[in-house]
Amino acid sequence: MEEPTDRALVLRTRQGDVDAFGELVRRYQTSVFNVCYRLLGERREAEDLAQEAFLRAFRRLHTFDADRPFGPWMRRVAANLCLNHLSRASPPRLPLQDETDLAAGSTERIPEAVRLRGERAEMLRQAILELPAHYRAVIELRHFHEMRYAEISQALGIPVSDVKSHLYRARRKLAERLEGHV
Amino acid sequence: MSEGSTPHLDEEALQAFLDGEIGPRERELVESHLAACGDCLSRLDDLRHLFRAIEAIPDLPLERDLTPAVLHALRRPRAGAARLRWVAALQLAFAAAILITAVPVVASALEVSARMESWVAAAQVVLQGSLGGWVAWRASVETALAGLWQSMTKLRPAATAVMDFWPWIVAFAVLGLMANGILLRWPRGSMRRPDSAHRGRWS
Ligand SMILES: [Zn+2]
Repeated sequence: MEEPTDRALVLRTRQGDVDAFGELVRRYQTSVFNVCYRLLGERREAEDLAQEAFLRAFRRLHTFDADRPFGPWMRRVAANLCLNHLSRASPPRLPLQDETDLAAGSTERIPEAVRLRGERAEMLRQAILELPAHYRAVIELRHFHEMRYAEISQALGIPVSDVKSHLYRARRKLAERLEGHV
Repeated sequence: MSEGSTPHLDEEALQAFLDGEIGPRERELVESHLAACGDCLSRLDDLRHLFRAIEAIPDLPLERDLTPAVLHALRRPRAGAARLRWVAALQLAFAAAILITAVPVVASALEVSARMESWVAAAQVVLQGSLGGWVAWRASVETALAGLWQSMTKLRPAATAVMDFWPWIVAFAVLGLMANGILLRWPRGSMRRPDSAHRGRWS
């Protein structure tokens, strides 16, 4: 039995097959959750918003062009939802520290180089979470959604010059953290 | 290692270069500088590594499957929507009741043609046939309205001038109720608000 394509699942969902959408959720929930986690930095909240993102996507599925890949669109829906959520949350939230040790558990049998690379990745993940929300937003949209400056500017409602300077400063901070680490 | 006075590339230019966000002329300048300057080339390399490292951050595993919750929410009609549907249904039923009661009265008061009246009467017979219970209610309301109308005409000649318009008032009330009922039933998506309600945050 062949797995149905995303496109087939989207079309079936549009015809009222809710289970087909369930399969799409199964396929993309991890990457969607990770979008939310990178933007929000809190697991519970990220899970809730990932779930909400799927519901929103379901309601807006008629706006999706089924000939394009579903994953990027789905992740964009999630990113928009989280950005709205963040911009509503006031005062700005403090970065959370309680999940820094996610990779720390079972690393004994992993080769040293891989472990170091993994540590570096976790360090970087944490460094992104510690950025101010508006820096985190541009990093997310540029590096994980491959958006152009103009698109980011539109998505966040800020001038392109701000996109540029936010990216510049955010990356500088990340680079400093990495240098301090190595 | 730049020749003489050529200044090094600034960090922002290097980033824009890597992002593919510089114009063709600027790109040429950057490329020719990079070809001649090892310092800038190595800074570019560092940046490239940083970009790759960011994009290579592995996805964290989910601790619970979100699928059941999503499907559950999709299968359960949303409480708000369900309530709205009830309000709309009640309103439509109420409007229909008024319509059945008032149509003959309104029609005669508006002096529509005898043909129209007979059509209305026929429709009324059909409706009453299927909704037997309405007959008594309709008759009583009609009698009451007729009595009220008569007493008004007899006792307050001045008021009757205003009251000449009452069929119109009833007609508009019914139309308003029906329109509102239809609007309430309309899918929510068509009245969606834009996503960009809170923007100031990102500057
Ligand atoms: Zn140089």
